[in-house]
Amino acid sequence: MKTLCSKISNYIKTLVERNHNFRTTTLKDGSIITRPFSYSIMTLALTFAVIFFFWNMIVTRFFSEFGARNFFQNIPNFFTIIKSMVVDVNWSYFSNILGPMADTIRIAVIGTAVGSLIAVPVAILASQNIMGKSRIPGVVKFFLSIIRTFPLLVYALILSYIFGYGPYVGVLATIVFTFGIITKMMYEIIETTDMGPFIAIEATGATKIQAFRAAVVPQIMGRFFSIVLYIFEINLRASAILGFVNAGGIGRIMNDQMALRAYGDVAVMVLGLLFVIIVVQNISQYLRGRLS
Amino acid sequence: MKTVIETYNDRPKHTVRNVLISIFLLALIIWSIPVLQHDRFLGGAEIAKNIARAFINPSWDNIFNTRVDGIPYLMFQTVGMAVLGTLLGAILAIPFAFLTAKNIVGKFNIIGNTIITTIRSFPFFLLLLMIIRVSGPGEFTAVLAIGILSIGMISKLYIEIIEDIDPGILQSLDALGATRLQKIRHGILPQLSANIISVVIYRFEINVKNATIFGIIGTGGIGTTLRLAMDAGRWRDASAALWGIIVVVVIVDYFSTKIRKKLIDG
Repeated sequence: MKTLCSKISNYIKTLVERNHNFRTTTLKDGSIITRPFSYSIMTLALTFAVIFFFWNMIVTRFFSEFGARNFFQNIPNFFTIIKSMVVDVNWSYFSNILGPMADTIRIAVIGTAVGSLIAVPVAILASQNIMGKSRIPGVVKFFLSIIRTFPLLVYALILSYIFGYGPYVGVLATIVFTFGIITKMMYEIIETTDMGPFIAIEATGATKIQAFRAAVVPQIMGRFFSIVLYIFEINLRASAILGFVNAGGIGRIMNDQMALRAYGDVAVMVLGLLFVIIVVQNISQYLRGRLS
Repeated sequence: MKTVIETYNDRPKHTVRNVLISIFLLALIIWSIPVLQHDRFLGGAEIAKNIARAFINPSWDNIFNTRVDGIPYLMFQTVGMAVLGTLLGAILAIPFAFLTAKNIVGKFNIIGNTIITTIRSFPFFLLLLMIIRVSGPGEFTAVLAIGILSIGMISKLYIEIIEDIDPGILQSLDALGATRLQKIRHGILPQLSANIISVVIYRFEINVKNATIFGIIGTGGIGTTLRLAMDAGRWRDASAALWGIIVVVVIVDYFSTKIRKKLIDG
């Protein structure tokens, strides 16, 4: 892959050099200025061509399914929804959202905790400087990059067919997702730590695990916790949508109330969710500031 | 003169703080344990086996189908939604950025800040459901939603750049007699191009994943195909869509990382 890419880029470079034009301008007093011909216009034209291509592809389906005239007619719908959210706020619905909201937070807590615990040993396996010259890190990194390609909702969708309904599925999906991200961030940090102390302690006769514990752990501890907090924030936002595939949390009742056009209830849910997210965000920002 | 051991034993230990934090975390986890209750296990092992088998052997007809419902077309469509959405977000973010930059509106940037924070923390699927009411369940909805959701991040970047513009360069171009267009072309664009492009590409990378998620909620593209195939139990078609997602994301990741590295290193 790498050699192929470098070959292609070399080929493009030679192509550009061969076609490297110079633009000459003659000034009024007869002197000649030579300057390189700019490719920016060509790049711009190419970009527009690509965008036009995609636009065509989407718009053909869009026009056949819905039609542009309906779009402009329906724009007021958006503001009607917002208006009814503000006007008919239904505070009596508040008692109904407490359970699902607690579920959302619980999914994020358990998912983040378990996922980050599993991530630690795998991150060590994936970092080249700890494992020496072995081939394990390459293989582990390859599998991690495949795990990371799927968004949380795709995992929840797949797992919901295997395990049925309920927040349990959301927890499992969050664990897999958290594991993928945290492992990547961790091995990037481990690979950039100062390896001097590790080598020194290994030279005194300590095993690799002891050396890791004494030399690397103090360097990465603070950053590990700040990553976990950051991922917890992300998971909290993301676990709200798990309800769409029946994987628990507040997303499910939100979807139902939206389908029933009970916008007053939805407004209460949004306010609750915003409150939780902002509180958690502020706490985690404060803690992360203290850690670093 | 203390020995090394004594100094080591006198190190700050933060015992009280660590114990308090541990108790808090433990309480949080114990409070969350009820979520793990699960009694339904409806023949899941059989489905898991089928999914795993289908993942290894996806439906090759779908993968090599070059018509509108084939996987290659859907892959291009997902990328297209992300491209157009990111572009829309980059355009929509301009007014927000100018209304929030400190050196333009001064103290009144609280209003703009509030709007941007609300967009950033508003539950995005709700916005998507609201937009579906406007433009119907189609690819165009995904473009609109991606555009509106990108405003938060992209306008934040614009603000930083607007606040960082060096007024000296503009003044010296003024002194040379440059027109307004020339000032923008030679004074402002070179200052911000690399930074803007690298963040917009990063956002594009996120938006490719978002386009898949939106598809699952119902806005077309590869996500909808995946969901429909799974609902019908056509695991081989579903796994073809999954492989499509993997290929798109890996290719986009690879090139975006490469381009951003090049932009940052110069």
